Amino acid sequence: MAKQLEKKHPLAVRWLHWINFPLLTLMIWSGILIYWANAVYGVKIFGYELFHFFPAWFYEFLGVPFRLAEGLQLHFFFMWFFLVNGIIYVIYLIFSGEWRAILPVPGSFKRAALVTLHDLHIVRKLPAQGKYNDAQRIAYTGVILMGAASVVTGLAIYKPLQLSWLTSILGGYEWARWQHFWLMIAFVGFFVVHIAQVALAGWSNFRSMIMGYEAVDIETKIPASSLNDKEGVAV
Amino acid sequence: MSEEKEKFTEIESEVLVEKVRELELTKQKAESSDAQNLERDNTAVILNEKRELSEPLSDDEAKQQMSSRSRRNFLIGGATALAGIFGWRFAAR
Repeated sequence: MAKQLEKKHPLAVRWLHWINFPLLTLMIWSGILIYWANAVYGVKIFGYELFHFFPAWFYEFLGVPFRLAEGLQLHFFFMWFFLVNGIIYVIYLIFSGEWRAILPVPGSFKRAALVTLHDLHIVRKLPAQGKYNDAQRIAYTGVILMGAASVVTGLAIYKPLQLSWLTSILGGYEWARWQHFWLMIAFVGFFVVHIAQVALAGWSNFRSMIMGYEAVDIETKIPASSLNDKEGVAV
Repeated sequence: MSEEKEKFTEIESEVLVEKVRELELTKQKAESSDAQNLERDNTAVILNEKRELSEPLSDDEAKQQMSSRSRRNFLIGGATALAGIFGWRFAAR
């Protein structure tokens, strides 16, 4: 069966993605080192705490206790790299036209629900898609917004006096810290689902995030309207 | 009698051809409407996302090109990861 190589991920996206991976890991790790010093959040229902972030064994297991100063240093150093990497990514998306691959439209929410049902083996038919399905579009755009929100809430608790206007907009220091914490939890949730989906999608998909290309069967039906005029070949 | 029969057969076949034409037309309309619905329901089409595909390749050519690109990129990735790890260890010291 004849094949074509499809360019899945541009070089810039691959580099920015893989740079972001250790940066985000470091930000979460150093954030936990800081959070340990004042671990006040939990999941409560009617005043009863179902789960406390985090249990003592979790800190002990990871060797977190009494590393506040180290956590602050790491967090305040690497946050600038995280910020710059994110800004470059957004600028690249806008100017390269790659935003077309990740932005959702209003109809995406319905199709994302169908994708989820398909992934859960409840429905058979998968909605038509481009490089990413609509659930991915929502997740990948959402994670950019989460990154921006993390920076904003982080700055509000980093410099609550100098940026008091920002801290006030977010509801004060305590609220800004609460938002910053839950954004971290959301990042961890995204990370877990992302890794699970990558594992399910298989080697070829993972490899395309390293080398940029994926081999596709030439019989694949390609919508004429989504073909690149220069390189595309209608089959 | 035979002439009448012949005429009848001719009319019958014309009617059949006409029916087949109608059926084909209906089928074509349904297919094009399905395709239009499919396009309308595809975010990639709505946002005019482009797909970049190489020239058609044989299985062997595709495999060869993928292997060579894969090797190069995994080496670069591995070297970068190692540089990162050693850089981190150096900075931590």
